[in-house]
Amino acid sequence: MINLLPTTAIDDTKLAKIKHAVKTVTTVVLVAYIVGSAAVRGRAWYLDNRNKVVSSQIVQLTDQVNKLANVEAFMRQQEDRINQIQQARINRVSVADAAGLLQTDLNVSHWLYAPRLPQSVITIAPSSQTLENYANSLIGKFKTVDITSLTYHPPQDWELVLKLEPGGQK
Amino acid sequence: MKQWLWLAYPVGVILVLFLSTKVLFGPTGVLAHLAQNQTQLQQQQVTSSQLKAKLAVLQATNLDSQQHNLNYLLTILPANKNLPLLLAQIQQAASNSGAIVLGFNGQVGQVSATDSASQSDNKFALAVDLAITNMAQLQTLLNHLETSLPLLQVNKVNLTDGKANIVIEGLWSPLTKLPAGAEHPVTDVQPQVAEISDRFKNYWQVSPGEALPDTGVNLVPF
Repeated sequence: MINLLPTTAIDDTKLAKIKHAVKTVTTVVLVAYIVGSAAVRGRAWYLDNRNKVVSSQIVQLTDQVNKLANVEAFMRQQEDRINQIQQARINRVSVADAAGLLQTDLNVSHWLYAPRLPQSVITIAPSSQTLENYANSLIGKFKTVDITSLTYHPPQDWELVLKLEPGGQK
Repeated sequence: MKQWLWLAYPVGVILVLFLSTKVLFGPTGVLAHLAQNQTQLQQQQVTSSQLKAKLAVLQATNLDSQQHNLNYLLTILPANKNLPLLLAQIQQAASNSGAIVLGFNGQVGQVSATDSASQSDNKFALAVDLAITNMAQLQTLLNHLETSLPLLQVNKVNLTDGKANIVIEGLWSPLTKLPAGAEHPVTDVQPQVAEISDRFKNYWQVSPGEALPDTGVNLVPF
């Protein structure tokens, strides 16, 4: 009994300190929870309202855009048509240009031009020199001028087969 | 028992926190809802700004000038196959060059289409036989054809002994239904129209009366 008294007195002081510490920590945690929870709910409420406002704006803007649907349709059709027109004119060899490069006094008996097969020209003339001159005149006008063949058909015809790739300086 | 009563407060708080964990962090909890709302708001703000930008462009645009521009573009690239116009183009090019048209041959297929889905037969080509006296005349003819509107393409020329067989394809493209909506912005195409207009200013068109140009303005698709 005598030994226990001082021990009990110390334990009571410690216990009081522990109780105080636990109470403080619990209060801090509870306040933090209440504040945090309120902040989260407040943010959720703000976002809900903001969403409603923006959603309403979208409805109004969509309505206004829909009233101008005709203008939009015309603009889109124009854009589409412009793209197609530009596409139609890309990488085309001008047939008139190729024909114009032939000398008018060549006495050409046969000329075949098929820009899609791919760009090939077959020319038949009575002299190999005139065909060579023709082939040389195409160099620089097209990106590539590929002489596929130069053939002699007795007694007097020469046949030149070319493949042209568009893109040279005209 | 009374000596443990002080623990009721922290234990109660722990219980409250534990029980509210699901409400806060669960799949349908406040935080998940918050994240969802945040994402939704961001998406809606993007949509709203896209619509505002689109509306500004549309409001600054004049419907009449847009209609006029589209009609002009349709004279360059029609929405329908216009066979009489193509024939008139060939006839006029031939008469301007002095060549004589001997005959036509070709398959035109379906003459009009309003949707790309029905454009399975989009070829519009004619093989034309002409009497040609020399290469200069052929060149003039080809030059006339290549500088005429609506656009056409000379796909093949076969000249043999004063007779030319030319395959000509009339270019066309139906009006298609194009996507609309906030995510599809519109752009002012006036500069491009001006550029095209400048590019084709020296091109010729069939004189009125020779053929009735059907530019194919059909607003039904939209």
